[in-house]
Amino acid sequence: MKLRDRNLHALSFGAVTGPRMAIVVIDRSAESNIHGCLSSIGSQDHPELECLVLDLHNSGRAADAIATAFGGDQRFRVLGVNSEQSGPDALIAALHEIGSGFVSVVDADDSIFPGFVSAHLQTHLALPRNLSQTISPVEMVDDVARTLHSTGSLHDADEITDIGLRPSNRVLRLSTVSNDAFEQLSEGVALVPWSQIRWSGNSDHLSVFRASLLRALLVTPPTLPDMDALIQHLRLYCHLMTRTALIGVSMSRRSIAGEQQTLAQGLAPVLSETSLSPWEQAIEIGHQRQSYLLGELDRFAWMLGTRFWEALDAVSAIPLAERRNYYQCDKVAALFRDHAKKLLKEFGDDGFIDNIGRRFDKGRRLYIAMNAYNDTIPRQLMQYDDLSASIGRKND
Amino acid sequence: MTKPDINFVVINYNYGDYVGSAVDSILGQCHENFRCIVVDNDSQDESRAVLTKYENVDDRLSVRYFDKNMNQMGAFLSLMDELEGRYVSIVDADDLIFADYAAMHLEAHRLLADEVAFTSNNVVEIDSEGRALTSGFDPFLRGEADESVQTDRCKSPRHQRGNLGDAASSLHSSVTRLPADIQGWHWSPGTANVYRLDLMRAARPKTQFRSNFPYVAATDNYFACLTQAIGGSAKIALPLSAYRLHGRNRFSGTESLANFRASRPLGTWRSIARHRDITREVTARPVDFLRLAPGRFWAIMDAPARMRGNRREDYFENPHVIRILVQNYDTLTAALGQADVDDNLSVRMGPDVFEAFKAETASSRLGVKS
Repeated sequence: MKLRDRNLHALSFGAVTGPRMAIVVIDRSAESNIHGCLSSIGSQDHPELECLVLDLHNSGRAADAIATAFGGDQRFRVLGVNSEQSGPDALIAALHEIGSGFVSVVDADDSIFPGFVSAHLQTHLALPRNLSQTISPVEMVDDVARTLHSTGSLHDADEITDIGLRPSNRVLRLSTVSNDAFEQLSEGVALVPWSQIRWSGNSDHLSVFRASLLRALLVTPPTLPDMDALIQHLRLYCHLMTRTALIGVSMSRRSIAGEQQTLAQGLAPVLSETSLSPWEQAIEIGHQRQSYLLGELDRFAWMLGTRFWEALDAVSAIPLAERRNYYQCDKVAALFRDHAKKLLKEFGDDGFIDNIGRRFDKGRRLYIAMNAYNDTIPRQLMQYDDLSASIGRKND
Repeated sequence: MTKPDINFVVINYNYGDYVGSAVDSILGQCHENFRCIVVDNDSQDESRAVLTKYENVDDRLSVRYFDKNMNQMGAFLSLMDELEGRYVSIVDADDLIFADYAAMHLEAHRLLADEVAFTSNNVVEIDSEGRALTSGFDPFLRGEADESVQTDRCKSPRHQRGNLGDAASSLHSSVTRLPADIQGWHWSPGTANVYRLDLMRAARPKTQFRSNFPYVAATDNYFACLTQAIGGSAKIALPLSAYRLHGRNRFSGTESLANFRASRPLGTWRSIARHRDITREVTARPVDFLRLAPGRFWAIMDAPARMRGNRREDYFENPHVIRILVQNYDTLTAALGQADVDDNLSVRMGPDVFEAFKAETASSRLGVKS
């Protein structure tokens, strides 16, 4: 039997099939564009998908839309949200319901272009390394479909590196992605570096996640105020785990009315009403995020290894130039002191000394180390020069 | 029957839902000169009912049933001597191989100017339903090739490449060789590796350190690490098999991801323990390994440390490793000479640890004498 090409479906005797994506639609209001959103999902050229609609207002509009536009299409279903469920809990429940390897969370005011699923899945399957998240820019339009914000600004940032895809004959190819389209995807794919996390808090990029990593992250989810904060958390942590690939072409559109335009500028910060100064807010947010990561040290240290410390720096969202000041805050030192024993146990003397020494001044190092060591604090820890200690240089 | 070009061994334990698919994929190989042994390790699910249907369907296939679970390595070792021909592939019962798997691997082995210990292909990771999750195992993707194979180094007569047809050109540009001393793990898991049978036989664990107890190990942790150090390997950057993630995998919880430890802690600790078995085996019969790979004894000893990507000292300072070296010190010195052994161990352990090791060795001798 001669083999003329490597059609993997045929070579595997039909046992291996293409990937499937789940799309979770958050329908927040009775005025949403749910019909348009669902229509765009039904128009995807890649057929292997499932769609779950979180009907937050329980209006039944989504169910009606599915019945009328997609009557009998088993790929679409609605999950009702009971009044006692918090937003994040409802989203987590939905994420556990899906049976696909990939998932995207869209708003009912979003519409995805017909090649959205194909492009993201093909990118995932052809990246030089397996990443947990791909993102693509969202085209923002007003209520008369004028483009407000079609952004490629992340792609133009200095730190973004074009990486391309692996050779076409060495990867699974989706039949919905032509050779020319594959080459175009390859030319436009870039890698977002570890330290570049600000995009994760914005709504101008749409993510496609690997579902398995979301499940791993959601074993113990943090307490968050709303769904948007949870999505932001997942985007950030998926990025910290493996980095993110950016597809440099808009693959979706969001229609926003006047008062919602502010949402396009960024998701609400973790802190809502506050009288703190911007710097104090930044410390508070950084502290909250590092507190979560340190509280889950066992899990995240296993998954990340020595990159756990890079992740701690990145998750603080403190700019590199301000990080030394951040680590001289008493509140932050107290946080590390509380977890000092576990940090020492996990990373050993060398890892503990190096990473604490590079971040904290001598006084704070002693303060932290006293909670880690029962008797003698290693001399090496105190030998780091305050002036030369520099976090971020090694990481970036 | 003529000798097979390649042997397949499927060792099944409670994968009744998948083993049929694995066996079907072997029977569907376009390269037809193979032999396949399927072993059931005393499964408690529907496996035996599934495997019964494969008895007497093909002269190339035999099915065995063990009355206790020998684990993968134990089962493989028990039938290793029956295998004929030059190559062997251990197919996990929950995975499957593509129709051109055997043909591609055999051609790759022939393409290489120096014969390597094993070839490893890229895999498609799939979920329990067979849906693709990746088209590459991330550690495989991570490693950089040191040497590309040029088609003009191919040794095969043209007619032996007939089975590949147009795929041959893809293969020729996709085979790269990894030298014996490469650091870290660069290969795909389990159902992706085709070994030279003679090297596996020479390197297999013979030392009875766990008498009356099934050898608890995955074969790759031992054989890939050790035979790589002996003869190097080659990677085929084409997906030729599927690695299934179904939630019951011993080693992995999720698909492989860049810079992310997808393995389960227990699976990882087992791998580390299996690497120490290499040290135990090599130091228990050093003369065999000196003959097998002249001039490479200490490079072989370093293989477990290289596999983890750790500092060599971290491995040789480990108390479990030191205990093994204490036990086999006399055997080592008899084969290599005390000066050579002491020089090499002191470099690997560091002076303080080596001094303590020597003291422990002396105490151990006194203990034996008294």
